[in-house]
Amino acid sequence: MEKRLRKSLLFLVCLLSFQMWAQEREISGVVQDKDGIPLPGVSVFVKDTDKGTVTNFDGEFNLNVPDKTSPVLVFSSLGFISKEFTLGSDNVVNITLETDTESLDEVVVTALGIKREKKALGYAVQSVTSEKLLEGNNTNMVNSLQGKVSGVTISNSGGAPGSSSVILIRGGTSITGNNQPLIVVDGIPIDNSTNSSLEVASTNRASDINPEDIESVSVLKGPAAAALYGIQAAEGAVIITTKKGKAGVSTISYSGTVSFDNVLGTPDVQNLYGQGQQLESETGGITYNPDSPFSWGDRLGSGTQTYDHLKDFYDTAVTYNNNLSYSGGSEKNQVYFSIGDLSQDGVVSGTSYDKTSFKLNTTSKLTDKFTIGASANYIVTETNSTKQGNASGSSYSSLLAYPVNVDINDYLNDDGTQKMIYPDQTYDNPYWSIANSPNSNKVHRLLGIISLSYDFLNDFNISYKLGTDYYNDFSKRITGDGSLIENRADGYISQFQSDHRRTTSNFLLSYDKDITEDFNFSALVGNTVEDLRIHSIYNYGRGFQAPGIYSIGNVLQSNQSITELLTRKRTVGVFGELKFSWKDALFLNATGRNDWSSTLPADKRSFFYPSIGASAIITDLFKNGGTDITSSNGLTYLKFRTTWAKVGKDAPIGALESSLGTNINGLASSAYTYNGVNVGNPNLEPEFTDSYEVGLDSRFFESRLSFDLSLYYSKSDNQILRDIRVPPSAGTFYATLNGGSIVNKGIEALLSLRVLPKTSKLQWNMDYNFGLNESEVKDLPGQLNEVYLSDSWTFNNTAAGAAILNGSLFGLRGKRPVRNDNGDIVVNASGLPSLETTVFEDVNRLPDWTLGITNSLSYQNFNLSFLLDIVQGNDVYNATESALQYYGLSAQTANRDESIVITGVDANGAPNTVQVNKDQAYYQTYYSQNAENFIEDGSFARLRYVTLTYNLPSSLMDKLYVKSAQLYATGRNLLTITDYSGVDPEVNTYGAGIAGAGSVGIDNLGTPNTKGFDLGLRFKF
Amino acid sequence: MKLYKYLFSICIIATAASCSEDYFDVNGSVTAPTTTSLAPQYRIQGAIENTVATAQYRGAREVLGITQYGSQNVAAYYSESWNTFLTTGSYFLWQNSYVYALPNTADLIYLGNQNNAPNYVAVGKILRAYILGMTTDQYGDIVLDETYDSESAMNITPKFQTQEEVYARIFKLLDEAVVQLDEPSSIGLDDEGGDVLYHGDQEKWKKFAYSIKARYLNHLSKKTSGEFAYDADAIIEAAEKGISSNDLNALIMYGGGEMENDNQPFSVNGYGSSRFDYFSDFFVKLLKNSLDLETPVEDPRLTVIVPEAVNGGYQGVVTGRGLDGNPGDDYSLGNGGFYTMPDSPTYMITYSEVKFIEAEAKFRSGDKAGAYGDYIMGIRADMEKLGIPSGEISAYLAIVDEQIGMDNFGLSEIFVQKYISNVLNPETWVDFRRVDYSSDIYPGLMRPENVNQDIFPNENDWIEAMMYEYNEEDRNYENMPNNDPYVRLTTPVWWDTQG
Repeated sequence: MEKRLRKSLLFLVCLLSFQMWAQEREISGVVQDKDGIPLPGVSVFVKDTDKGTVTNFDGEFNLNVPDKTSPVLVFSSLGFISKEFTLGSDNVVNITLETDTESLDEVVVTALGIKREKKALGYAVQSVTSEKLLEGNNTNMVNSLQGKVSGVTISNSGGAPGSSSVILIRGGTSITGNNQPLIVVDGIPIDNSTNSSLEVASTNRASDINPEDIESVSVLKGPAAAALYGIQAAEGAVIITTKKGKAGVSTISYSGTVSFDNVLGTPDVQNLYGQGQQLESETGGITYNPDSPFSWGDRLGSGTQTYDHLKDFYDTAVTYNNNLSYSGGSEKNQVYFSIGDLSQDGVVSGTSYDKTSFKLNTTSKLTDKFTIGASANYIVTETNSTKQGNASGSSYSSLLAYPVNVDINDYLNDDGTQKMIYPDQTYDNPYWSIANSPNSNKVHRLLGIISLSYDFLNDFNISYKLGTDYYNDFSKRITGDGSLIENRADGYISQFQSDHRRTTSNFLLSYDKDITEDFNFSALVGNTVEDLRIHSIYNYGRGFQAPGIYSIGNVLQSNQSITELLTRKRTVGVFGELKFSWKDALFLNATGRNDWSSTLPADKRSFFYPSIGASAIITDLFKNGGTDITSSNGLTYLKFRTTWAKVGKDAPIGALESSLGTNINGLASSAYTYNGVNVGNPNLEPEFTDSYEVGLDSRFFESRLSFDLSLYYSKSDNQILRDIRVPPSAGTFYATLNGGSIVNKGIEALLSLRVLPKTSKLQWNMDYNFGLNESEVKDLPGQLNEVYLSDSWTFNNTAAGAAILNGSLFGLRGKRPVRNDNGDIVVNASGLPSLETTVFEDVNRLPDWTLGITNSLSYQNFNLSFLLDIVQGNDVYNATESALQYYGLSAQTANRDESIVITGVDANGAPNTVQVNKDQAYYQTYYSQNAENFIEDGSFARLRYVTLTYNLPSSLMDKLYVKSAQLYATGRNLLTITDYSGVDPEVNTYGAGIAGAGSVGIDNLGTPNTKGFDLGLRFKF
Repeated sequence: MKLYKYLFSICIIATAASCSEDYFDVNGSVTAPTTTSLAPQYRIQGAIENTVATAQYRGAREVLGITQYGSQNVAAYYSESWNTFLTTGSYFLWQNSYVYALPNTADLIYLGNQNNAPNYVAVGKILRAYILGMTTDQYGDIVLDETYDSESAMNITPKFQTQEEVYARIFKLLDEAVVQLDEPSSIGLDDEGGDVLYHGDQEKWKKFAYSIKARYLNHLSKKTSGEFAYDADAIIEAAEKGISSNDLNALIMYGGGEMENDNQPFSVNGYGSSRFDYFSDFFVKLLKNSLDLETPVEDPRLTVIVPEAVNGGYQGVVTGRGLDGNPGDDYSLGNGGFYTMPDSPTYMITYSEVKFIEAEAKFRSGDKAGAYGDYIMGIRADMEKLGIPSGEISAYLAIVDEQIGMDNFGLSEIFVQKYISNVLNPETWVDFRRVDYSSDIYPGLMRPENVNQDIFPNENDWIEAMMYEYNEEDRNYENMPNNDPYVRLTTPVWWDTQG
């Protein structure tokens, strides 16, 4: 099978390369660096042909070269100076390559896919290579950045398949808008939105990208880095460059992984008390009514069978991930092609996530000066989920409503209807829901780019890119007939279909000239046009006429409702950049951009924002001045940099006018009326963020130690606040208006260390990624002292994420006891305090600081890497625990026969002396509703992954005609150290679909995160 | 040269796309009309229906525990015990008025002006006066000018104005509307079939306006001085110009079909079906002896309004007591009667109410004969509305003449009959307060059982106003009058104070 496969692939290779079947000779040899260390991965090819190979793990290579006069071999590798060698009569060639100290001329990809020398940049950029990205085997590419970039916080929303991840760079600046960075693939922005993830786990769209296709990721932090990208990159940008074919080398790669995952755990439940609710009898004693979903019933007799429903609900999930890619080409044409298939079973039976991706990337050099490229990536994703959180039909909240002595698997009556555990049961058995209430989502996506580049007149270059991100999203959520949910007895269907198309056109004209020997000047002028169109149709239907047929067509017409939404946006930007450099050591950079956006009123449509940055390579400046402050036992390189940038942001689509609706609720008119919700503001203005950044990059001990540091401060004013809660007398509940101000400041640092010298057999590299951030709300419009997001309301509405005035952007509001002016809790006659809803000034759901420590050790054929992620200072709201207590399931409620006197004062100010029992009423009306009881410190240290890789020896490789092969085993999330009492402090139940202050750090009845093992195989031939 | 040519052509291309303003005109909605784009003939139906279906429904539902037409099956139901839960959070007349009802009227006024259609402006003003009236009667001081008006920028901290100012505005709106209905217009009210109230007949709209004016002038029964002193003549004049027959009753109809909003909210499939469990003991007893005679005479309307209990007979649940362990089948369900069938209309203001208003005004000004005549007409009108056979009507009225007659006739008779004819209308709460919940006026009227003793400790403490909803307090507390329940619920509104 293998032979046949290889044969056909060889044929393919032949089609794509231009082979000349002339006479040949075989050349072999070893490539080493100046210390005699063999160098793997060095490209060896015959000059001006496409014949080439790559050195193996021991630096050895074999190559057939045409037997013509004096063929020239070219040896090249990143970080080394390329060497050419004219072949003589000898067939054995041993080469030594010199380190390219100019590798400090590391090139990073910045905005618009422009490659810049890192040393010339005034702002902070951090790159992650493909190998580092793939470590940890994360299938959502956003997650694979966890812990690897300083200042970036990534929060996974849970262990359900297809869960979203939120990525926040330097905290956030937007109270209600998007705080996530722009994701750019090969110069074209792509959509990273998440559909509302309240009801079911919904993925962020960037997870469609196959991490195996990624060559490198550059994270541009802060507005400075993205001033050229405009509005969407106000929160930074993640620039992804995908793999391209390499000249002279044809490689077929395969990687396959199988993974096993289990939830990190489930909460502890008490198993002493069973089904029932407490009734106070006239004599003051307690009797029990067994007909109840609660676990406030009588004590269970010993020997009664009890179950842990939460624990039993989750299984081991198995995932298969296969990737096959081909990369090859000549100097003129390169191609990269890959197929990836991910098939993931969820930890909840019936849930799954499947992703298949096809990618083709081709580049052609038509002439010396003219290059053309085309790429296409087609991805199909399919997700099956259960409902979560507060949604009706949520599996988690249904599990809570099955007390420990009830057999949850016995849910059907003989006639096939659902068994109720008490009369008037209005929720479904979660296993019944898995069988009868499916939720599915399917996305077909195409990312296509065409690019052209033309050099002319020596110093000029024009490049043009046209890209499209088109996807079709179909989602169907069913409640089966036979449901016990109110009004859903005959079933319910909610589906939507959405066509999302974003087309981007980027035009760049650049000019680069050495004006004098010391001065270099380059300029850039560009134009971007973006066109976004989203067409969605929502269908709802109540009541299936024929049982079991889950289609909208099977619903009575008068019970169907359809809504159509078409939103469009167009932006045009014109920008320019000027760069001056002196002696390649001092750099000055200025940009300016003007945007026109369709989302703002005509007179405010156009807005301009500039940036200025400077950087100085101190070590080179000293060298130029005659003093060399570098030494091999000390400083190797030192650069200072500083930037000031301003970025503008436009309004959400359609925010200028108020649209009408019909049937806005079950009472309202069926004719068009004022909607009360989509209220527009025709006077919106763009908002601006000002940011300042200073930093240094340094290297010591011949680059064995590198240390980068950045300090930043940014202020965002006159924000466009969406869905601000306003008093109903204003005419609506939500308004969109300008106001509010956020200040963001912090520190980022990256320390990289090669612990052992290069000559050592054991190699050990460490990276420390540190970030510290504070996002504070300085001002809010009107009399608002908070802006909260109703989408993040937790169980029983005890708390919700909110931006708090003079507090954190990622704060909390919720119910707490009424206090008098002295700060004492006021207890009423019953002995319990009253609760009021108010803000928590000192809650911050984002961490104070994070530190990601990556270690990579290699010895001979083995490599061990692990990432320890330390996150400190984040508060988590444990609504899951409050729900457990409400239901009487929480282990803490085992103390229900105790009594307590609540510390506080009565209405007259005298100390409270009323004793209350910790009974159902205590927990349900007071304790579980008091949000103060559930705010916890979510600081944690987590071993995100440990990977052991074994590279199969080259002797074996040669026998199998394979270039390289690796076996690896990874353990993920194996160890977490935290004081958080819930299952996982890294939680964001509502996912990335909640904008602004978001719902990071809110633990509300979602599927817990998982820990797992992977076994994998990778080989190239 | 070549360089400049290149640069020039590039610049042209680059700026070409940004030139056209049309290019950016994609922000508007193509799938839904907007508040300023849809002509008023398409808006009038929604404006009328939401006035009643959202605002008036909400204004009636929660005060069921005050107006005591209905009772719930559990004891101490929050609206019946007048406790803070009802009053701090759940009372949503406020938001329904300001968000769902009033803005439609503002749009009608604006669109009427834009489209040269003063009749639409008038309709907007009439409905606006109606909603403002309902709202201020329940809350006292309310937001008046600084709310949505279709044109101004949104004010997110609107000021409150006094009830007196609101009443002045109500009368102004109604007076202007009546004039504007006579002006020529380019669009008929019913051009798109949207005038579900009077089908384009502007004379009927004028009568409706005068009826509302009469109702509101009549609220001032405690006012004795100043601009708003009780003016019986003005009331009588307005009533005479008001609704003159049952055909002109202002109401919205329901079809009783599949859609929830096509069902009378208090009917079995309606939005509020669970809010009106049973008829109240007070109401049923009243109907069993509506003339308060020694030998009770059952009102012929009893069997029409109140369904018979499953176990036979007509019995109501004492408000606030709940079923108290007794079988529900012993009691008359709330849904299923004349006012609570799936296709029952919701009445805004009826001919009989206008007659009772006129009767009260005449009585207070000393014209007992005139008052009695209007009183009888009011009873007859209500019975005809309910479809009582004319024989029974005549029999009942004969008893009235016999046993009560003009000599024994007084405010109590008028108010009781008005109570019976205004089932489920929030207007009843105004009447209760105007007579201080007197059981002389309303025989048998008592506070619900399990009334909140903290706020209403004494036998004679009755609820006088509603608390402002918490959404308003949360975000506009600086402008809001004192919302402490101990103050809000017990302080009478402006027209409820003597002087």
